[in-house]
Amino acid sequence: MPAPVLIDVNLKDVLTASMCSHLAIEFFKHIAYQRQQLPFPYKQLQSVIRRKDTLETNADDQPVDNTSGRTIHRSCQVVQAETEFKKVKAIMESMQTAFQCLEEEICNANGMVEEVAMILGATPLSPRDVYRFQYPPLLHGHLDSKHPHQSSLLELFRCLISSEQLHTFFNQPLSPTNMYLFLRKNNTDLVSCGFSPKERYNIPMSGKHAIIRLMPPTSLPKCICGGTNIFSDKPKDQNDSHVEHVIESKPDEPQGLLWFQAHHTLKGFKDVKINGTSVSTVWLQSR
Amino acid sequence: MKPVLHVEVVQKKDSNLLETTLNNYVLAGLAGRKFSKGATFKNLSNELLSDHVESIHICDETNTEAIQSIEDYDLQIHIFKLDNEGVQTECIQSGDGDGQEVSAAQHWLLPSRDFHGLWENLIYEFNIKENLLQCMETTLLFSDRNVSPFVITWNRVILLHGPPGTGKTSLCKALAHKLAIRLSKRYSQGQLLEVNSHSLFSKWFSESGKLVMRMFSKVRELAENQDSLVIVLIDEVESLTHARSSHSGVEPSDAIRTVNAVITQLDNLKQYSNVLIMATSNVTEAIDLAFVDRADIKQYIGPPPVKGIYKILTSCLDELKRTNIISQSDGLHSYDFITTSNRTVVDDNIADSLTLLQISRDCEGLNGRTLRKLPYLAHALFIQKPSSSLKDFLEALAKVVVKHKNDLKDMKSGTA
Repeated sequence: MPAPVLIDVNLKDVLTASMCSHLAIEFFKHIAYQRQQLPFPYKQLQSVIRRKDTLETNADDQPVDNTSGRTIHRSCQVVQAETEFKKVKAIMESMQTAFQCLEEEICNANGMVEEVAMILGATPLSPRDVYRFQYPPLLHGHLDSKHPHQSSLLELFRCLISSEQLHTFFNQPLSPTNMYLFLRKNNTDLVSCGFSPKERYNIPMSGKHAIIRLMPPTSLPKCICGGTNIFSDKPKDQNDSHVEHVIESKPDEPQGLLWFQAHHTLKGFKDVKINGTSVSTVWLQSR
Repeated sequence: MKPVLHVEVVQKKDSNLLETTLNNYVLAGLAGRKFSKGATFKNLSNELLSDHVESIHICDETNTEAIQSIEDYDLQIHIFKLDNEGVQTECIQSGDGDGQEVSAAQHWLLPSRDFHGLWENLIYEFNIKENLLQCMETTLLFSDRNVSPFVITWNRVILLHGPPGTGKTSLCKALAHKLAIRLSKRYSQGQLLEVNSHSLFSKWFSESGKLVMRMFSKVRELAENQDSLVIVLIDEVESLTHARSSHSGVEPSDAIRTVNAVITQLDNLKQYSNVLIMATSNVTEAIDLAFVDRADIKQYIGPPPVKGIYKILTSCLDELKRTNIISQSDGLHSYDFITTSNRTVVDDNIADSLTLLQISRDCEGLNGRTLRKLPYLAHALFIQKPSSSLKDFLEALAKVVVKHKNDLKDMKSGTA
């Protein structure tokens, strides 16, 4: 098995729980597009769906023009595009719900979430690609409103884009498959809305692995939100992060940590071409 | 020594309880209750259990005697969640050089909802099912305890053969599902991989053997995880292991290479103690001898005997009663009761059971797939109303059996 790709992201600002979730979700959206599970970037797809929905509601508001018979004789292509739209919309909605659940989970866990992961493959036991996102211990009492996410997000993507090893992952084609979301936290708190504990589960060693580690700033910037410099309780020692320890996934897991799997499984899909035109273009053409 | 009693507990998908906690809840829930073997509880009154448990099944196929107290048994509680994702496709590189992928296998995580309840509805004579399950358990135990394969040889390969429609493939799937449940303490997760034999043949000469290699390397990858039980199902195995001796001159040698690749890869898999191979076939003569020889168990699966037919038809009628297609009536008697008891008074219930017995005798020789189709045909052709009495339905069933036999006769005379 090839060694996993390690990417350390040195943050310049204090990490808050909501920032943790935001960074992970943006990273997963990026991966979904880069690994050909989404035909277009997530934001673009969402905006296309929104525009198509607005078009539909506007069209419904207008009186139906029976003389032209446009509503009755819809061409085969339009029907195909509509079917495709329903499918894509359902997938995107499920993806949005899954990300929302992940966000809630991280924000409600009071810094207990150690790691989140996205597994690409037919099942969570046969991964093709594994992307793990590890968090450092969080500092207590920092307000989200005083710590904008933008600079950390930029830092993360700078590291992702400049990593050559990660780009070798993206070069190999991957047909649409499933994306499973996992998070790892302490098993003392089992209550969760969108995730269920998976006892005795370890991420398999097969497939390609990439580990993104968020590193807290070495010297804390001056903070105006009144947050402390006290770390939340975590069993892991911050300095104990040498490679061997990070890549474990062996039975000797740190005590008390458990993987939780998301109820929603994300499905990858391809763009469908109708008469050589991308289906998303057909959606936005007037009916 | 107390007899073993297996209890299967299906945990709800969104239940966040850990296994050990739930195990204690189940034990507390069962204590002091009377129930019979083979029973399934779905709507649990116990509040603690109803939040977390979907169903509890007391396993015993052979008899349905009442259990007075759980103290008399060595309880084996198996707690599991069913996988709802269903079948997934495993892809491998096609080797065409264009980066395309071909689907090599269908992949299920076990225990899967797709196969839940399948085992109980497969009916065979002479405890074939139970014996196979025990053999598989022994196989895995031997492998797990590192019994030297040089002293006691076994290959972890089973071959089921017999006429079509007798449920060979279903039995393999049900067996895999059952094994994953029974061995859940040893293996954290079970996986079933159904090989798509047809997609392993490449359009390029000599590539098929390589595709087989790639497929098996996928299996090996899955088997690397010692905590996972990997079951490989090769349906219609003769397509991958066609007897090499019967290849004629015009047959490309590529097919021979495929057989060789399969056989050598099977030998390679021997080193993984958590891999089981199940194969099914309709035409045993066409399978390569080297493969047949590697199978530890070669089990013939034939059409069910009268007792089995009676049981299958009873289960079909029960299902129709449950869905109110047949109006509610007393349950039919069991086969043993109806064939052995001395009857002085014949009530409606016994009369219906006797009619069903006669129908079962008429059905002898039909396979399971046809038998389970008969109630559907009976309703479609002779009933045609949303609800009917059991008596009318049995009449229709008798008619449909005659019709089916005539159809078969016509087909044979047509082809002759």
